[in-house]
Amino acid sequence: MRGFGAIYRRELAALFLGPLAWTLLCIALLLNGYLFLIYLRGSGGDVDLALRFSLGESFVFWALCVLFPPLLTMRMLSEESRTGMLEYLLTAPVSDVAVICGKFAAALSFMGILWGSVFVYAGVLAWQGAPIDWGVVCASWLGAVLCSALFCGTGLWTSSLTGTPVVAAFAAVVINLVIVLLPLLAGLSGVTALAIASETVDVPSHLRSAFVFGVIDTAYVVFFLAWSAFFLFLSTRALEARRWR
Amino acid sequence: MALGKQPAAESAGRATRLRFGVQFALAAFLFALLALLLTRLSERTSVRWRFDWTRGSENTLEPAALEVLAQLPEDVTIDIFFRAAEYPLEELVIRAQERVRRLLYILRDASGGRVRLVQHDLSSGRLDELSQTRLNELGTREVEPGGLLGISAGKRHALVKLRGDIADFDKGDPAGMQGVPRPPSMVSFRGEEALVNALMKVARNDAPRVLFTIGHGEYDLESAEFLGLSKFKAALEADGFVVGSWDFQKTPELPEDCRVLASIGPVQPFAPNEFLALKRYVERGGRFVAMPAPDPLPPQDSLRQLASPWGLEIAEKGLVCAPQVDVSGRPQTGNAQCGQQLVDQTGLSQHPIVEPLRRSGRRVAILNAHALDVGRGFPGSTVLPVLRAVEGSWLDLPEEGAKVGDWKPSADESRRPFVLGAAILFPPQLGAGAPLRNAEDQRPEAHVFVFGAAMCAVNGNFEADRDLFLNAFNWAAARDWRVSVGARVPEEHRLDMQDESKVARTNFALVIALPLLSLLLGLFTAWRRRR
Repeated sequence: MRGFGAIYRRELAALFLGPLAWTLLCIALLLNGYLFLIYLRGSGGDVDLALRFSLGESFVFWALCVLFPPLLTMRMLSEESRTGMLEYLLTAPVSDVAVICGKFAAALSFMGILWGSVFVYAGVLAWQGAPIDWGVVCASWLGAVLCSALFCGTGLWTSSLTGTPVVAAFAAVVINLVIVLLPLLAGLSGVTALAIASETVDVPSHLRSAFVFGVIDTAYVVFFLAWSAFFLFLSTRALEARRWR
Repeated sequence: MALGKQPAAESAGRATRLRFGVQFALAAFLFALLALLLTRLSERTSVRWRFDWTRGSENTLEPAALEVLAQLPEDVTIDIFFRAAEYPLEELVIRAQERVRRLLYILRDASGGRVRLVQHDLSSGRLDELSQTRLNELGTREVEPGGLLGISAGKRHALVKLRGDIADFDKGDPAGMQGVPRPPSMVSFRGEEALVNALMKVARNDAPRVLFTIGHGEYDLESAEFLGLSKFKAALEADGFVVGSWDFQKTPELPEDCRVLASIGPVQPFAPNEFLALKRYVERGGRFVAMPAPDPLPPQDSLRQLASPWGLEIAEKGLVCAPQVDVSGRPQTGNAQCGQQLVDQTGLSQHPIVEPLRRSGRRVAILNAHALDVGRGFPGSTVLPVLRAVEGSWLDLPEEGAKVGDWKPSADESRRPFVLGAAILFPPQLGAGAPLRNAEDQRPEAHVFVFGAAMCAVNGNFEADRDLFLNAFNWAAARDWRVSVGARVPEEHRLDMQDESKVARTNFALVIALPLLSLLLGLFTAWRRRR
């Protein structure tokens, strides 16, 4: 993992020194804040319910989850491959794993900051006198970050496969959509065995049934970590394969 | 020379790429397998931990509930049929449904994969074909407002209704029709207890045998006609009982594995030896459920003579009647409808047979019932009234030579809230024979439940009192599966939405300040970079 820190810092700087991250952050915060208020009004001021909708139960949350990581990761490898920067990176004294993990950590940090807005929401509500269960807020945030890790992993993988960022983003969005909709598709197929099997990889359900209620379930943590690691492994191998082309 | 080497190098490069491609695919496959294995392994109860970060440990099940889950002998499926409620309970019911869902997730995750949840979509107000079939399999045809849960294990199933079984609601008076406006409220929520008890109920691995007496004009156990008992039989079977009949002519002694004997609607007397066999069975510590038919009882060797020494007198003739209220609110008598009444909470005791009904505010429908009188039984016995008729009831005696009376109260007919159902407990009697023991109840004790209205058990009327009958048989069989789990009131985390200034400040901070801050930071960064 030599060079991980350097890659991470470089990617984070590239993200936050460019306009894309700030634009995405501003749009996401605006959308999230507005919807959080709608949920709050709709639930008669129920903070827990509004938080739950913001981090796991609303369509917008899943839309952000599916779309944002690919937009962040699309440039990370494919753009560098297109501009030739990747060749320099691969000849530098850093391992492929460090390159992938550094980039992944940077993308995940951005998502962590994005979802971290709930701490601000909860803080504002606490300031306004609403009692807050910080345990639920922390667990929800952790769940959202773990879920984003999976989608950052897919994004990084597709980015490692192509030299066109848009293609990478599009492919990652499609994969993310399939992951999110897998239980639904399995249910629609009408095959009970398939529906039962899909429960193991039911990402929305894993998030909704534990984290958003303030529960850290090791089974779900392992699930997100294992499958994120799988996509990172694929990315590393794809990067490695470039050396042999 | 160089030209000759080029195809060989190309071929070698292609082979290398192919080799690496195969290696890559194999490695990816193995890693996917590893991830899947890890995922499956982490779901095993022995290596799975759940950390409840909520302040009030709201996601942690009570030890009693965890024990039930740990001892589940087979897989359980919970079908969720939630639908919207009517005004003004819509929002409260959604909140209750949310709490139930949360509880279901906790149960599922704590069960180590033995509890499976199936969500049915009722958002359009109707069920798809698959869901309707499932509902029918669960023994019901429609979902009442609020919804229900169908809990099944193998052939056994239980229904848990959101309203009544899980939560109680008070509609209040939001429009202020009766004075000061009163918002609707959730009176109680006992989701954990209701779900755990239902799980226990369907997952029990005992199958007590219930035998019904036949040959005395009883309602037919197999008949699907209005006066048949097929629905009763199906409900008992769904509850885990093995149902059969006892024909004295073929087997003079009751089978030893009979856990409950039932006699529903006999109109002819028992044969003398049969009467003695019945009496002996109960007095040895047997379990008996009796329901006399509305007809006058035979003068000898009937249920009346059987129950009398146990401390319960069944009125030989006459039906308990109550005045019916017409559309103008005036009480009416003189018609057969007076034989019907609905016993509400005031008429239900705290006995385990009716306590769940009383607690959930449900009523028991009574039709053409015999009056019961509680007296003194054997030494050490307990005779408890379980349900009583409504105030103003009278015992309508039949006319001379007729089976029924005039449905009008007369001077010679007594008026009081008659006992309509009673439970009797007594120790085995010396001289009746060796005390009966059953596996679950080590202490031999006779359990007798007498319900005055057999007509309520027939197919045409069964659904109204289904739970009462099932409770009665479970009590008689000493299937004490009720687990008491304390209801918890989760902390409410709410912002006072009535306070406009708070709402305005929150609006500003969330929708304007935060995005604006990120925009300014972005602009600042861009400006710094340009400089």
